[in-house]
Amino acid sequence: MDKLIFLIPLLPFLGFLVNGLLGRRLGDRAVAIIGCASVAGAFAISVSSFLQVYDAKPDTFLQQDFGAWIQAGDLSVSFGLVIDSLSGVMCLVVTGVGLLIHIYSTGYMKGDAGYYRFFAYLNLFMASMLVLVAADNIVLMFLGWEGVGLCSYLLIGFWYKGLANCSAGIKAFVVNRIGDLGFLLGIFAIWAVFDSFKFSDIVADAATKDSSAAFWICLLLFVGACGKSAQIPLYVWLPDAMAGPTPVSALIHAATMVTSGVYLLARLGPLFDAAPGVLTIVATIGALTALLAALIAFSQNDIKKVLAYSTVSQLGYMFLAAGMGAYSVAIFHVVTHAFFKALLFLGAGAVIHSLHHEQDMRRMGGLRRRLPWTFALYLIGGLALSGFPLTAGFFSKDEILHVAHSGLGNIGPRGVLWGIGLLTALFTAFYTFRQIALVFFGSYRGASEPQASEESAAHGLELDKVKESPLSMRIPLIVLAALSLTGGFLAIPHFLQPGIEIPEDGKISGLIIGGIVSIAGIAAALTIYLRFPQALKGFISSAPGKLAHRLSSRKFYVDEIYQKLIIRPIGIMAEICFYVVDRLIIDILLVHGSGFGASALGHLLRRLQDGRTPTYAAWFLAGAIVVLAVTLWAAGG
Amino acid sequence: MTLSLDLCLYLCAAVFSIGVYGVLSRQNIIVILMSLELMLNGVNLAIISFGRYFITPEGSALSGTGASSSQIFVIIVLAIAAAEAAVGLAILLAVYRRWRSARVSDMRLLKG
Repeated sequence: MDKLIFLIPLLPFLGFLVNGLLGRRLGDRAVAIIGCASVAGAFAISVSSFLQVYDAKPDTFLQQDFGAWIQAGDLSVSFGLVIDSLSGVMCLVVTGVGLLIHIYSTGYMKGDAGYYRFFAYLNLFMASMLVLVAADNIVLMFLGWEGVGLCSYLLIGFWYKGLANCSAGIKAFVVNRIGDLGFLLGIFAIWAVFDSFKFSDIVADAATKDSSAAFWICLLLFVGACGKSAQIPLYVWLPDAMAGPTPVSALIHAATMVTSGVYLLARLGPLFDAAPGVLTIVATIGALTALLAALIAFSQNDIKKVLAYSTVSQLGYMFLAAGMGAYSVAIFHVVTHAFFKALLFLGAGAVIHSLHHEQDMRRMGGLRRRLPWTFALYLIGGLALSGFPLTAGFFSKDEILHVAHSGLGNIGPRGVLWGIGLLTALFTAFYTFRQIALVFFGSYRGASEPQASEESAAHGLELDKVKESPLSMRIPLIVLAALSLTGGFLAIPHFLQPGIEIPEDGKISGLIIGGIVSIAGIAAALTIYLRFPQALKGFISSAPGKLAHRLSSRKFYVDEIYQKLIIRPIGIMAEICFYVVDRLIIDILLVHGSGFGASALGHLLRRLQDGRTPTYAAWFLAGAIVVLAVTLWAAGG
Repeated sequence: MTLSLDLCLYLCAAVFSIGVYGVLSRQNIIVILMSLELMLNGVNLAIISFGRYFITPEGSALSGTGASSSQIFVIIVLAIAAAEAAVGLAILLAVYRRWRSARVSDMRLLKG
């Protein structure tokens, strides 16, 4: 089986080629089968590879090298794949959740004109993501990194007729470029310091290198991780990325691609351990992102925007864990988050599908009777996200908070970050159940209320016309719900980092506090939104409430600040370049100038040829005199 | 009394310049052809003068050419001048038949 790991990325890539090149002729059914089968094959190989790694003793891995990919002088980049415990877990999550989302998409995208295009992009995404995860060197990882970025862009703007979708795609792409610049510089620095791109070499030599070198490399790589994993200050693209189809939001912008920054940190864990300064930055940024995104999620009205901000927030938790040096705990949260966030997104997709593409929660409500399946499954996802006791999110989130509270290894406890994390956990439970209350409880508002948002596609759908989504969309939800309930019992941290010493002291009390916080948040949200909506309205209309609501619903004006501080100046610079350099210097002076100069010179010289022979003779004489003068001057001088 | 080379060359320059002036200022092609002859003869005079002053009967101290080399040059120039005059007058005749004019300013077809 260890000779087959190249098929893990190759199968989805073949699926991409077949679907992309022939999909239009094959028909929707064949496209769906090819799309799902290629991912299912990759999943099967991932499972068997993982079992092989799992059975063997620690530190074993499967490896396959396909020779040099880039060869220039001393520099050599091999095309090698490696499946060890870390990449094995990631491959399982990517292919497993990916397979479920592919199956879901066969129902969700039914009848869409771009059906084959959608599956081609999804398969290309899977191939890129698996290259990213299984690469044995950082350059090959960068190939996958850019590949998933490209697919993200293509799929955000999948419905390319909407201007908002296209600009969201461009925004994602541009913001990611900023991060990728950091990543690329980090790769250069790695080559300069380590003379190798292989993860195994980097990790082995990490402790022997200069600590300032490690600091700068890690900082640059973290900039890349910030871009891809939507951390402050580069998180702004992810909420807008919800313009894409919902399965895309689930797969790329919740479960897999956005966690690749965390994966990068985990992959190079020993290198980051050598740079404690960067770890402090990572943990702080993570905690602040978690809090900020949770605050924004309070007041969002779009069902997917709430989930998007909660994704940013949960990614912040993962970076908090990574910043404590507890990479395996971060990956644990990556895994459980992939389960429950994919479940929530797909559940939201089912709601949107049933309501004919209505996404505004102000036009939902009371859907639990019409959509009992979706409601039950969404509730499970919401409980897991809130960290309700014994669900997946409960264990992984509390593990993170516990590590932050008691410290790990050389890294001391970070009480402030723990406090922020705990507060965020409370907020998470609150906004999650605010959403559930608005969507599934209360009375249905879709038919009666006047159009709440201009861009919403639905026009007053009657409640009794709301139908449960098809089976192909329900089965993946059921599997994900089961995983969201049980995923917390996987002992991933100890499997990935056998030497990890998570202090036992306070673990139980941490779990109890986490559970209480989660239940308190849930109870508060349900009480306020179901029992006392008037009190909430009263609070919002009071002065401090109004300010808080405006700050939250306008996303703390971060987009506006970026617009003013970064985009406007760059726009002005671009205008200057356009008008001065392009228009004036290049167009007018060089392009028109050379043409005008030549023709002006021609006008001048045509006077010489007036047809009068004496004039020619006079010029002839003048020329002869000049030649004579020059000759004499040269001879005499 | 012998003429100095300088005086000879001044004469040459004067004859040549008069020819040039004639070529440039006259309108009639026949006069222009005559002025051309003046220019040629100015040059001929210069060649002869140089021959007289620099080439001894034994040959040139400078280049080793024979005593009569400058005269030969002048003969060649005269022959070519005669040929040129013949061609020029033939063209003049053809032009005159075409335009009924011998003025250069009437012939301005060749211009940019």
